[in-house]
Amino acid sequence: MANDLKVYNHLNYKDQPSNNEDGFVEFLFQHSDIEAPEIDESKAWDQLIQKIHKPNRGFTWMKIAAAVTVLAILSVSLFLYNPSPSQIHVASTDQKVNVTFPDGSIGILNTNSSFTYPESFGDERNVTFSGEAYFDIQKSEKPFIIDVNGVDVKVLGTAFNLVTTDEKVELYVDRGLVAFEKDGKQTQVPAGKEAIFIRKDASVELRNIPSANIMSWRNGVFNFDQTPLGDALIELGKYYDVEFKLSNDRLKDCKISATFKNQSLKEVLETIGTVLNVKATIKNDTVKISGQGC
Amino acid sequence: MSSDNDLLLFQQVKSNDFSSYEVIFKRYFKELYRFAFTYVRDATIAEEMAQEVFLYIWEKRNNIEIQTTLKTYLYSAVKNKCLNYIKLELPKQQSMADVSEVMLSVSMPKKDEGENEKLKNYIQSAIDALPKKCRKIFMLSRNAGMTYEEIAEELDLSKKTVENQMGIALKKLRESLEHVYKHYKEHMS
Repeated sequence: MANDLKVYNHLNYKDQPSNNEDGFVEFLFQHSDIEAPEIDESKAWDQLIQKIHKPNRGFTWMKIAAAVTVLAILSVSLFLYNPSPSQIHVASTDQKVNVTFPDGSIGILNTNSSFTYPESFGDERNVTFSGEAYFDIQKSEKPFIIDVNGVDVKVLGTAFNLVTTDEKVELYVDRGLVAFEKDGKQTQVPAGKEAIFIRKDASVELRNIPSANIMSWRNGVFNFDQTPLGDALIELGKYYDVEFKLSNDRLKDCKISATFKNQSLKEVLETIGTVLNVKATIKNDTVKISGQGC
Repeated sequence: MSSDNDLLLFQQVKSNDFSSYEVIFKRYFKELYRFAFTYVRDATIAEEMAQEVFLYIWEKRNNIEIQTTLKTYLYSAVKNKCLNYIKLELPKQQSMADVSEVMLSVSMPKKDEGENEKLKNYIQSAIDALPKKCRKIFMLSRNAGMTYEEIAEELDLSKKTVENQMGIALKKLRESLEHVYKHYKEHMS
């Protein structure tokens, strides 16, 4: 009923009133106004102190102790936050973590990745990093330097995706200009390009067409074009946080062409199922894919 | 005068005065939590959003220059956190309830104090069961009171798409709440 939208717009945005047919939208409106439940402020304060004390999130066992040791922690945190900048370490495990650096730059850590950075930056903005992350760097005269295990990635103000492994460093530049630097040798990578630094021989390979799904982990958009199912599942598994098991290894090589935009895992599996004539069953965090294949 | 006082307090925080920080927390935490709730509609998440902002202002106190008032600063920080949450985190969650579940769970509520609560729960489950994009847009419009232009800009969509999605949201809600609504009407008349 297109009229519902008009009634809604009237109620929510004080638009022109519209003929109201059966009162459903009013009903919806009236009963979707929920109030925030009361919260325990002092408990929230305790938790906050605990987070201040330990920027590395996710250790729930700390909470138990927090209430008892408020005073102790209070003095410790005052001591910890003396003017001399201390290092902050943030690590993600099974969830993405958003980090705002002291200069307002943003880093989004994909799972199992980490940042170490000082509480405040000096003449250079130095961050040590491992894993995969997306960066959106504030423009500044001070260079933003990301140390990825011996290779420096130097930035002046831009957004990019970075993946590091023991063998290589993959850099995809979303906006601006980024440079790889090793022993004084610089390789500049402009927006829209992907560069792969191979650690073994310190070579840099520039690609004009980056892997289609390099940003998928962040925005949930996947483009597969004759992609082997095995590769597609690696990308999907990272995003949906599931593990795929194939009933037979030949399935890995089946080619899939499909586009997914923010779809639920169930919808994605249905499409794959139809396209490749396979059956997908979800159990906990494991997806089993079975079928004859192609 | 409280805004003058706020800035003074924040200056104190910048010189590492933890007790001033606590005063600011006590003054604003609850209202920021309620403000976050209008966006995210989940008490735990809302609390986390407000807490994150407080964590940030302590950790980054030396780098924060407040141009307006502390209150404005805090509110816009919470708003940004919530929008980021809705954009980045929410899409990862599976819909919390299945539409069929909502319909099945319509028992015969008695006309008592709890009925309003029950209705709200049904409606909330139906909203939670909306497709992700619809849900996001519905939440930003209905809860956060953002206009279609604002939502379009925030989510990088066209205004037309946003309006279409709202239409879809209402249609789906009507479908999934049909039984609830019918029941409600019968009992009200």
